[in-house]
Amino acid sequence: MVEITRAGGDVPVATPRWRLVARRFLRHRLATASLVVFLLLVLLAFVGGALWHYSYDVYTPDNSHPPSLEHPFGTDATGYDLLAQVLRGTQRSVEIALFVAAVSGVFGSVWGAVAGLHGGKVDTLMMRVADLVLIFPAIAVAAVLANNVGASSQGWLLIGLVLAALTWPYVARLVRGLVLSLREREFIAAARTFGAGSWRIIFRHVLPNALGTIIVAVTIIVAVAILAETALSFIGFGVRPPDTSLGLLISQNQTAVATRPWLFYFPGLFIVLIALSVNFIGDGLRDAFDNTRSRSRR
Amino acid sequence: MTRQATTEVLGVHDLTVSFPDERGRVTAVRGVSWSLRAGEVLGVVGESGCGKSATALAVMGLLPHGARVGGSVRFRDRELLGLRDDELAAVRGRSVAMVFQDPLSALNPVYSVGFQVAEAVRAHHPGLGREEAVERAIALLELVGIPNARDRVADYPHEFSGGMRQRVVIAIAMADDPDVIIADEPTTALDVTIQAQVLDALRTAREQTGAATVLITHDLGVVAGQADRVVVMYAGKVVESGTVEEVFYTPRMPYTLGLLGSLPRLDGARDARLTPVAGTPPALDRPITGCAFAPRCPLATDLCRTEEPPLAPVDGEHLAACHFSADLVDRRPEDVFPPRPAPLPPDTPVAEQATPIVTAAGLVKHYRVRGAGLFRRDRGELHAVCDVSFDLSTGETLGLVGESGSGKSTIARLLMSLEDPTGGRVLLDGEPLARRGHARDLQIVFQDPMNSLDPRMTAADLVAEPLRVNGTGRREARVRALELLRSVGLSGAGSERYPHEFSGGQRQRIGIARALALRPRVLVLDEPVSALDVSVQADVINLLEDLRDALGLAYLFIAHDLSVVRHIADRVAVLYLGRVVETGDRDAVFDHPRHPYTRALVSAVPLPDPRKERARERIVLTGDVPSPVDPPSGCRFRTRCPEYLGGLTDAQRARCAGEVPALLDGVACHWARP
Repeated sequence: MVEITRAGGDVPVATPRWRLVARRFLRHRLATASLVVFLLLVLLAFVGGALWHYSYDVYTPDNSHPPSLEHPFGTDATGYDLLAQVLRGTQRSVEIALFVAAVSGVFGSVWGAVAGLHGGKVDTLMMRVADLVLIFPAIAVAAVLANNVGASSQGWLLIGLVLAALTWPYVARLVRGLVLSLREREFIAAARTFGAGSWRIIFRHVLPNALGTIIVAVTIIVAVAILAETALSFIGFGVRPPDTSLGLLISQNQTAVATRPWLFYFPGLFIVLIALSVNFIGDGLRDAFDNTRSRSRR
Repeated sequence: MTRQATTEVLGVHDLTVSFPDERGRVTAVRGVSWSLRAGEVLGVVGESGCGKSATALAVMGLLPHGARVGGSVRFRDRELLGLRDDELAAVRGRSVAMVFQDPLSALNPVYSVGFQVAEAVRAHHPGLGREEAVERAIALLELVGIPNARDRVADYPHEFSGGMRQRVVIAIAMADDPDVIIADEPTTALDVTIQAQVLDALRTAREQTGAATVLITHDLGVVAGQADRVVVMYAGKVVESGTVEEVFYTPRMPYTLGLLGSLPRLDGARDARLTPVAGTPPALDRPITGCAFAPRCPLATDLCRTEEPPLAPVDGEHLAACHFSADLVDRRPEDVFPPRPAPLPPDTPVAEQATPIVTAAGLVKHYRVRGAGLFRRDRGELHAVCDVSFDLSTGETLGLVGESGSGKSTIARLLMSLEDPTGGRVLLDGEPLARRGHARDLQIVFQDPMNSLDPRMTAADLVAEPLRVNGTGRREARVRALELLRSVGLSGAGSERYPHEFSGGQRQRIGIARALALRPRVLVLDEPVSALDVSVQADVINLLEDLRDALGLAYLFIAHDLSVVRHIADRVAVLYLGRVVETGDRDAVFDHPRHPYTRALVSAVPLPDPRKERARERIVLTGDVPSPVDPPSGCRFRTRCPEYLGGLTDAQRARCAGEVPALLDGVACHWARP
């Protein structure tokens, strides 16, 4: 891993860190496979959805057809083509999930790191705020907030914001706990002795060392966000018809499990694929960022 | 220490031990043979990873699951390897007792100490009643030096200090009346004055039971004072064995010679430069061809690299494993291990100045101690540092010595503004410190580089960071970082590796390079070498001396190891429970200590010289260091002071208890000897 290339003058330049991380990630086979699966799913949803000759919001003359060449995923009782709907739903779900994970991951990490590093009153105040958010009945709050948003085209973004606002305390608490132990380490004291400020310590020393834990937390939030969106849609608040999401599809079709199982299983399969692949990608990323692991895993 | 009959009680023959590892199998012990004779003390020495503890565990049948053992371990006429667990259990305790490094894990936390000793007594004398067994337990505890043993039998292990616990373990070993005691680093975690107590207890145990002892340690001084014969291990093999005199005075294997030469000595002159052994021990996860020491040996030839030297007699029972042991007669360490000067940083030396650079004036640090539980009640104040003053000038090294709890590290943190003093202040060039403004002038090197280097940064980034923080450009900082790494002996490809990919000594070099990055005038060195093996430690000490001399740095050298301080310091301050008890010129303090504590401390340090060590008079202090939450009134040392407990009159004692002795003429004792 020690590769030094010469770039101008006599100063050896290190291989950029991102390249080392990428190399280690690619060595993790399951994670690499998951990344391929996930990218294919996203590609299929966004490009495939646009190319497919049925649209998710156009009725076809076929009602309740089982999967066939014409309708690979079948159709539902009202004549929607399920493949088109699943692709559209995947778009929405992936957008919401990634948005939630990114926002609550970044915000929660910084919040937790600041609280943990400062300690004392700052810590108490910040963590009580986080606790307050946690004890809100999440679904009810989300329902009320999302209800006002309605079915506008940017609705998913606001749903994402609401979900992120409700999930960041999980990340914050986790990161704070980690920072409490990290800040006792001497390398933090060492950084202070040569004059590093709090923000430098947080971004340069604390967060990189907490990255593994943060990534795992964020991948769990991806799964949580998909499920939360499902729950919201189920009680009628999340994404609304004619727009659709994987959660909405499942809740619409839950009664059809016995009679027209394809309506339930195809969206279900997509949810499982997304959740699993994101989890494995998270594992791979955690190991890739942890330079102390680089040798053991092949 | 008389040599008794030469009958073998415990024999290890061609022992091999291997452990599974993520990269394959690590062969920790590669064919070790030694024999322990009745009544003798066999010292097994070697640095970390040489296989000395694995050997002991194999003898006791205590190796972890997955380990493979080969060869033979015989206790009298009985083969121990391959015995079932219950058969081994009968041998353990009855015939072979073990004293581990960590006494807390050797004692059961849910039973009282008296119960555990009595248990061992009853196991050995089944006829004995409960009361009698407890009486015998009390007698044993008194024998190993537990004060007020009768009052303390009902106490639990956690209520004892580390040294006390170790003595309880020794009492249990004595109760078993074993034929063999195996002591694996029994004093490693302990302070020197406590170490002296434990070594005394071990000696008592030996004399009372007549047991032969295997003493495993990395401390050559302890071996010199305690052992009759010595086995030196390196990379899983015995490389030299013989009587202590033979091994210490006429070593015939370059590794032994190197070890002895790399040891700073409390009795040695300072100018004798240490002779470190370059490099690190080989990895044991693949087979080694030739002599395992060859890569680090200045005498190595092609023969050494291809053919492994057998452990062969050089003189009677003195064995050495070296092709050239005949050439080592009368060679001194410095003849064999040539000094390797490091390229020093091309910085201009600090300009000399008449006034001290750093002055600590009446530093006081108290910590509030709060109880656990909901309300966290105030439990008083921990008096970590009390009225400590000193100053430090250009090119000078002040050694700060003391045992754990003496407040040394707190002083370091106060100097670095990592803590705010409760009282007193730190002056830089006579001016009070602004909180962060002194970053360039004062830098610190911590004890454990694994802890003080960010594991997510490369060596070059670590050293460049202080510069980046203080506004140097990326490229310029990098050039300087590489230059600094070169000057501490880390060059080329190493700069892009992460801390865990370096050895302990190399990591500490990174820590030193980082501390030098801002061209400081003062380095605070907080136990900089205590986590390192001796051969590596010598290398770092030499580097520190070179840097100081070349750059005109001033060092505040904090250590518990008096030998290291004697080697590197110009002046010394001895701390006890947060107060300076004695200070002065290094030679004066170590050669003619005037405070009773300094006298005891100096006498407790083992010398790696068997004859001197055995001829020395030792002052063994009683008891433990009192809690700094409630320190004794008046003189804090009086509860352990041999003078106070023995020599003084009642009127004199009243003064010790009532009045804090001032530091006058370098000594803080009312009754200091002139």
